[in-house]
Amino acid sequence: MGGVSSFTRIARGTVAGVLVGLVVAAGAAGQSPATSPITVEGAWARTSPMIERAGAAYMVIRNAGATDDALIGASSSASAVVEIHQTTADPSGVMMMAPVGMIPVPAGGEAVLEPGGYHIMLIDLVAPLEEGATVDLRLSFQSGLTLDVAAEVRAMMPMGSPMASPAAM
Amino acid sequence: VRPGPTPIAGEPHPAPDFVDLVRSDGTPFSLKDEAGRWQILFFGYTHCPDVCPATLGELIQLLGVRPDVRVVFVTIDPERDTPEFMAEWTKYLPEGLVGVTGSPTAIRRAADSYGARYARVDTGSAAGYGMSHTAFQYLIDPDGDLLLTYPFGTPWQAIAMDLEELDRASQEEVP
Repeated sequence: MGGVSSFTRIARGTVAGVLVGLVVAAGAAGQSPATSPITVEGAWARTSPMIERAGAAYMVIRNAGATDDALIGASSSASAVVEIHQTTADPSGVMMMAPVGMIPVPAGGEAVLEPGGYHIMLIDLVAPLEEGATVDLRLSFQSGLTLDVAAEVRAMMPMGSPMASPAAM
Repeated sequence: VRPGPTPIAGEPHPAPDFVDLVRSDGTPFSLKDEAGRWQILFFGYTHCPDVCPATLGELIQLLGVRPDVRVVFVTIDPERDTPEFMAEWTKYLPEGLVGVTGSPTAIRRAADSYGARYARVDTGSAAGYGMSHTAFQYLIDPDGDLLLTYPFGTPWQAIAMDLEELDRASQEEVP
């Protein structure tokens, strides 16, 4: 993968600038434009206990474009505050969660938001997240793109997720 | 491939019991209260929106097929997880999940006896302070011996298979 010459990088940057402009225009209404290189799959949020005020949402964000992008913010009608967080583990197994400024979504790649990793934190929930409900999320990207996503509320991780997969055993 | 469980080093030894920890109704909690059952111990906190619910989600699934098991959730955040708060929190969780809290000193002692570590972290999140913590799950057998440690991310099916195998092995031991 490596070995990209600086010339290529510059050329890419120029193309990217043009593309970004198009995407912003198309995405101005917060809709997923047909031309958007960014797509989201498998968005879900975990059910929250009745008295808990915070929840978490997960998804896979793909970038089919030729330009790196990043998730830089989100909002939702489900909670007063939405933050982007990352859980990390040190070699001894101590895990900690902290807000991060962005989640990189590399060109031609993806960002996986999953338990124990990146996630979207819903803080000061308007109401408990109950199974079967849907959480709306408006995702903001560094490129200027915005995407509206509906996250299904589930008690459990959907099948096929790393923790739910029998292969992980 | 995720790491599997780590057997406890050396001969099986009694799981360290707790001193001065209480259930959410304020009554004392001892691991001996549940002797004769498999117990799975987890140190976490209720305001934890990612690691703890992910782990509890798996353990709750396990309780669905093994209602005889007890999952013991010991909070490492007694400041927020008072007995009253834990009572509200566990109200909607399966009966097999026991919420345990106590004084900061008693909880630190309990965690230390398992090598579980935690610290308060002020991250600047609107959600308030967080806790960094180890997220291992400790398997205690019906005799009260500490057998295995499961890492974060262990699927409930893996634990269910282990329990089945261990049950079978112990039955074969009986003449």
